Amino acid sequence: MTKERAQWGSRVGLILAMAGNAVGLGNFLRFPVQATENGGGTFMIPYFIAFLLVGIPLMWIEWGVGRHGGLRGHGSVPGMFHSLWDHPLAKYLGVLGLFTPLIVLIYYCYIESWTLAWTWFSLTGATRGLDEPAMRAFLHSYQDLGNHSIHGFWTPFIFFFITIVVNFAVVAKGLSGGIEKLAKIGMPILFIFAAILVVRVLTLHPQAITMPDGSTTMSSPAAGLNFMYTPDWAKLADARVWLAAAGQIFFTLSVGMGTLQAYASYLRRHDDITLSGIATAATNETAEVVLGGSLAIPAIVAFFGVTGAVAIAKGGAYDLGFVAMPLVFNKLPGGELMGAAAGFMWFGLLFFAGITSSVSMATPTTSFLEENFNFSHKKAGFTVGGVAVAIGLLHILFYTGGFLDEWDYWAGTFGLVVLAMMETILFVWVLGPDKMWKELHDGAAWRIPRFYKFIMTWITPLFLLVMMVWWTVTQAVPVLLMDDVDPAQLPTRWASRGVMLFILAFLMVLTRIAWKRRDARGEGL
Amino acid sequence: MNTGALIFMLSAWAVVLTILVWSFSKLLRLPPPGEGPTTPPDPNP
Repeated sequence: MTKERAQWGSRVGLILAMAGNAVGLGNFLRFPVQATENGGGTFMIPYFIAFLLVGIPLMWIEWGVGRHGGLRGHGSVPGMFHSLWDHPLAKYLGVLGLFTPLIVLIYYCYIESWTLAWTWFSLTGATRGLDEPAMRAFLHSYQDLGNHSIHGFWTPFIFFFITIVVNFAVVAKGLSGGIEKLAKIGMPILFIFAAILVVRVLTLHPQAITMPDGSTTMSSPAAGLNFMYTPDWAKLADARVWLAAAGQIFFTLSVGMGTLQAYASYLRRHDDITLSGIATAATNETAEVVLGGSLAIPAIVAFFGVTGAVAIAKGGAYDLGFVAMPLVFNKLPGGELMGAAAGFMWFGLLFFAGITSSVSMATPTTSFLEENFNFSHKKAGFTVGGVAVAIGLLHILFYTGGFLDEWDYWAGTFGLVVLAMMETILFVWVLGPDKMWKELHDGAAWRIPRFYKFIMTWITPLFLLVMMVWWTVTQAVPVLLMDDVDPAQLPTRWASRGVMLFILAFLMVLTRIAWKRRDARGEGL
Repeated sequence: MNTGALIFMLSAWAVVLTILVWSFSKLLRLPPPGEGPTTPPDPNP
């Protein structure tokens, strides 16, 4: 029994939804942090190489896997893997494509709710006039429920609940009426807000800043761009810079998540995927390199210097977005109104970047429930929304214990590379390079240059393998053993892992039940 | 801003924006979804 599947309303709507999926908080928060920590211009060279060798091929592979599965009635990765590889194990490997987006959705909505809260705080002037320690205390009071010095106990819950309601109201309205409409409204707003902020930042006059040794020097946004685009050739030999750049390409394009495949599953048989895939990647890179790269770093360098920006980047993406940027807005010429407007646009663009990504993360699970358990679209949406609220509360309650960090690492970082590796092997090697190439070009509006067949067959899998091995050795093992963890956080972090494993096991069981039902109905691949 | 950095930045922006404009200009000329195929012939079959 294969239900008639929803379809995209227009080609532009599809591309904007795909790009909205890819353009997220990572473009404006993670990218500047990674670039700054890894030497600015030195980072940008491997970044572009990874974009060409891993990012674009994976984008095509995921569109291909999605359409291939969708034509066989599968809107989520377990079914897509089963349609590529007729083996009992395939669907269980594909569970990672349900697990990762669900896990990331839950904590991502919590972070997204911060951006909504800070949009409100910018409008109400709550962060106006705060210095660095006060701005940091403002963030920490929000994150730590035991610290009521600034925010009330319920404040994070209220913004989280609003964020979830908005997300699942969009999801419940369906593909064309909800997700596509959101992308058509949210993406232009995001680009307009970002463009206005970039113009404001790049037209800042040089500022006098105080150095750590007490001396005064002049700094400007141009110094930030200099840093971003001046490579230190000697540092290119450092493998960590290459891995960081490849990792950023992964996160920014939302590959290895299961969401691009879910969106692509709603394509029709002869719908183009080659040109659409590269248009999606180019939209994301415009948001990241042209806009994201010209915003936070030049602004922060203008007011804190390169040394200050590097120190802020070491504090992570949240310090950069929720502490350093509001400090910059407080210092903007034009008074309180300019500060409030810039804060509103910065956090507003982060909210739109976040929500266009989070609705995509709900899609694999809702599709899975609809297709395998006869849920209506609304029922599936509200079920996943209910799960997100219930489990999301754990993130709010135990954020300071490292609960979110565990999920972010295992699902939102390591899991992406594992899923990408598996889908590349299945789509390129199990299906076969020739069939893969033919599949990509079915209905294609543009022929991919032939050398990409070689890249997708050999270079991309090799690159992924090196990434996976390197990360396992240098990061995954120490993180698994919790080498650098504060002992006070150990109980929370173990509980966090337990919840994750429970969700993974539950999804495995659901998949088993779903396939038993399929077998009983006599449905094939 | 030094010249080398400016050239690197403008080249990066040019590559990204060229792909963006080229791909969207082609996509917008395509027939509505579902009316394919439109695949051009492979020059090296």
